[in-house]
Amino acid sequence: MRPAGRSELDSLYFTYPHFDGPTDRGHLSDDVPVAIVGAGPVGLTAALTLAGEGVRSVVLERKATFNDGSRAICIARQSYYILDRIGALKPFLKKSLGWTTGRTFYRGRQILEFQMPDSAAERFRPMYNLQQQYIERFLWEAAAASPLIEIRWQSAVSDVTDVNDGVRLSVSDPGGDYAFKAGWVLAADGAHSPVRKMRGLRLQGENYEGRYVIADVRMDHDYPTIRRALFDPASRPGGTVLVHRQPDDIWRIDYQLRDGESAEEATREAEVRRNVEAVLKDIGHTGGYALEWWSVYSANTLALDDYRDGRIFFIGDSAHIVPIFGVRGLNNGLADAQNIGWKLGWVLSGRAGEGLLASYTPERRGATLDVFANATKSTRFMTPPSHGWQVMRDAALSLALTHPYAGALANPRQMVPYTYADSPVTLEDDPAFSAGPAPGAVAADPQLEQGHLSERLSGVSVLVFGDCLDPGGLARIGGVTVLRLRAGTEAARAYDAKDGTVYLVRPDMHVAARWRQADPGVVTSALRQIFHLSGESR
Amino acid sequence: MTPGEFETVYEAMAEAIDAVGPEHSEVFLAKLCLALAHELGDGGKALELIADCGKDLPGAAGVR
Repeated sequence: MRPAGRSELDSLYFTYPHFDGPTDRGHLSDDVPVAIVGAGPVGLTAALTLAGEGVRSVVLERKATFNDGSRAICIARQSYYILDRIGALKPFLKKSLGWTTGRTFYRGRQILEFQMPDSAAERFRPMYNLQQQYIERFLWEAAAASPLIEIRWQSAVSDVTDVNDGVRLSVSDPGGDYAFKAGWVLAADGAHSPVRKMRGLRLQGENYEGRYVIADVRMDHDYPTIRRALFDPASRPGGTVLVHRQPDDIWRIDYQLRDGESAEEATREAEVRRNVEAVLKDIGHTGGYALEWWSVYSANTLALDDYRDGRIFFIGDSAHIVPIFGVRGLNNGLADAQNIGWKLGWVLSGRAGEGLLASYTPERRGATLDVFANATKSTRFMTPPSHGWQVMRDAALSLALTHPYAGALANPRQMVPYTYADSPVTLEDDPAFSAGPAPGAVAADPQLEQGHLSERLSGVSVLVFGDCLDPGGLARIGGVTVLRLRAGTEAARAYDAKDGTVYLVRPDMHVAARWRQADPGVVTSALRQIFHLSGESR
Repeated sequence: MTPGEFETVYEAMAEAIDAVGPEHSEVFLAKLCLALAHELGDGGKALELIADCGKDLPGAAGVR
């Protein structure tokens, strides 16, 4: 919502483009390999991932432009690796604000300052703040430059029907109605996913009581990019407020509604202004401000039981809704998009068997359930669900004023990448390792003589340490890149590697298998097993 | 801790509960327990005591 007199797209800092529906209509009913429903960050990341694997897709978007406000603003380190992989990184690095530190206040006094893991050797910061419109615009710019991606704006999907070897989609746009067949569908159409409803599927789980208003204001406010959490502040006695800095002098203010406070009343402009002004007073801002945009949301933990329905895969909010604490909505959505994107890309380009697709739900739903477990802890602290949790939360905050160890209980448990330990395409670990990323975990990204290891990863990467192993046959498998790394280096230490150690790293940077002392034949057969590769080397 | 010291703690707690008043006594006691548990430095022992102290509260069956 925006202040009176301004339309939903009348932003103080962002000029929304207007996209017409398809005008060249001759090809609209042609078959396509993949249809993606939704041109938000998740849908476009899926399209770019598929394009990276050489697979064409059509993206259908109901709206004529980007998201009306900045909902998701925190992009985690692992998502920057995804942006790098899809060739969209540069504008993100230029515009976003990286951050490492969070500060927690109780009744105006700081009780905790936490640092997320970071060092000069890391390629990316742990977190970056950037408005969702920019995220969508930068991804759109990358997608528009790809000959393999066609975005159809103002195009609403009205029906999805299973047909032989595909799904028939009925589409309505300002120019008329038509239908076409897609081999596969990725539903990235958001929390209220029309595709999910058309398939008769429902999200399962709990609805938390916590409801929050998110408001963006523009102001000249001197404070570094540090996440501030205010517990029991003067502006919201008993409640919680979060303050985040965004580019263009935009600040995100996020506050909890009390029980019985109506969302309708809380989102009236005068009420939003009154609350925002009270928060600004809490953080010592005395200059003026301009109200940009606001919205209301409640903290949910809901997910589909299966992220796949025949030839339709649900990615992002259509598959799961998570509480915001820990910033996992957008970031997990991007990981969904990359996960199914590379797998489908490998299947459609003939480099992997369809069996690979069966790993999507266990891996990504597993990640969602992990988020729920962490978010439940954070949510209990932010919005205590009962008297007992309330008493202990207040006791911990009060104790933290004089005993810093208690402040750790207020740590928001920011996103860490999920380990695909139980995936059907994660092989059992080699017990000879005592450190390094185990199968299922995200690969380490050590600095090499020049740049970072991640800059050299491509397709499925086989990391071969030392010179004693001849990986000859591996290099001839389609989509597989062999990277030789020296033993005794920083990189070897990060991987607990010696001469003869081999790691298989997937396109999404998760380790699929590792051997401390590898035999090339074993590695080749593992590759075929993990990626359901067809028999012949190329 | 001598029996005398233990009694002094008992008295100090009684006085502190009265001093903070009924509105704050519950959070005060919870805060004190967190601090004492941290001092104790033994999570298992703390959990045992939590279970123990939940038993035989006044008014519960069989206790008068």
